[in-house]
Amino acid sequence: MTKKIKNQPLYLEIKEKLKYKILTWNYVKGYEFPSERDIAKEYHVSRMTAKKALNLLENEGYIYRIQGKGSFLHHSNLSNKIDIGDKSALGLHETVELIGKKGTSKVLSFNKTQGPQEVIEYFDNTTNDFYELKRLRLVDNNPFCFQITYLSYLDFIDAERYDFSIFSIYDFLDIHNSIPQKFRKELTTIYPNQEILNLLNIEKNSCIFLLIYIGLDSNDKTIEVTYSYFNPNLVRFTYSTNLK
Amino acid sequence: MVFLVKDLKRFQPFSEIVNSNDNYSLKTEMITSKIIKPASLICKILQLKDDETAFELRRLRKINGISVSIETSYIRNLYLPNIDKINFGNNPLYKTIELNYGRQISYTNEEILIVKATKIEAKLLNVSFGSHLTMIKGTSLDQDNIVLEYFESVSLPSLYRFIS
Repeated sequence: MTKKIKNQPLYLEIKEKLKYKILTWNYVKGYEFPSERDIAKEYHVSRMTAKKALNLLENEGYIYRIQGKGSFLHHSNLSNKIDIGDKSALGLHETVELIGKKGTSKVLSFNKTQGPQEVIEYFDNTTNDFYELKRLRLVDNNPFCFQITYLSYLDFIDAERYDFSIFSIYDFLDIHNSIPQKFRKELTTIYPNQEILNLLNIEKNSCIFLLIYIGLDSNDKTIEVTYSYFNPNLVRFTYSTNLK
Repeated sequence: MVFLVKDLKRFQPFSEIVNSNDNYSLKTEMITSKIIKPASLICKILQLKDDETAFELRRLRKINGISVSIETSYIRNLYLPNIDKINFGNNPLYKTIELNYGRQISYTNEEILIVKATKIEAKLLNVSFGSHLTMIKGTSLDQDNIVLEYFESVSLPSLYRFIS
């Protein structure tokens, strides 16, 4: 049996050992985490001790559990950076909360506008009139993302009623039964203009991430186009490929 | 301008992405190809035992004569005897491992970052010291879920358009 250190309960010791393994990349395979049974066997402890250690790791946000399937790593917790990669199926606000920080939004402008040619093309030239929403996304009051969202004006004529500093685009689209059923994403690294660097508090001549999100309905009609400019010092982009 | 479209849903070796474009010609220059005792973090990632070594492969990639990327792989050579004797300047890494050793990459975990160029990277890629580069790093697992490789590549920021 694994021995207790001083007055520390055994489950705390096991939790710390597991946490160390997480933080040193020992669990890399598909984010699956060992089961209670595996942990009990590996550390020569009871199933109850293994369960308590897993409960603590779950409470601290390192893993999450799915009934009948097992435990899985929250990849975001391998780093203090916000994971904006394909593993994060959540909205930005929820993704920020995953790393135990507070996410807020500040609306910089919200206007009816003629869209740039690139946006018009993303909407298959079906409209020139858009709502343009510019927001600054903050984590613990530090700006980490500047977003410009375009929605077709004719499809969402009542959009001006909503306060997008507290209302997410997702909730807004949900109310209108227009949640995208498919999406395309393009990620590039760019040298942005000074305005964007100033908004994100980044030194000049810096390279940043630009993520273009195109949300589509089931008939491939574009619902939303969002340009997200990310401060690379505060975010990370992870993904995985599976050939099996 | 040279740029590559990398689909994040697929495992695509660098040479495959380049060769899918008829206008691009790929040349690979070998920088390092040797057995090493890697740094402790890489030992942990590769889950090496105390006395285990790794094969380090570092290559400079040129497209149409322009230096665009430096790729470094740390490979667990325990399962791949004499891998250091193979010339990876001419032979694609993953295809060669599959053909010679029967090990196929089946899963990867990857991360995209923006980093600053070291002196050596700046010299090889013809950029200023400290200028920004795109880094892709991660691990590759084989069909038996063995972590076979840890890799890091640094590229000109304009090189990739990642899609998903």
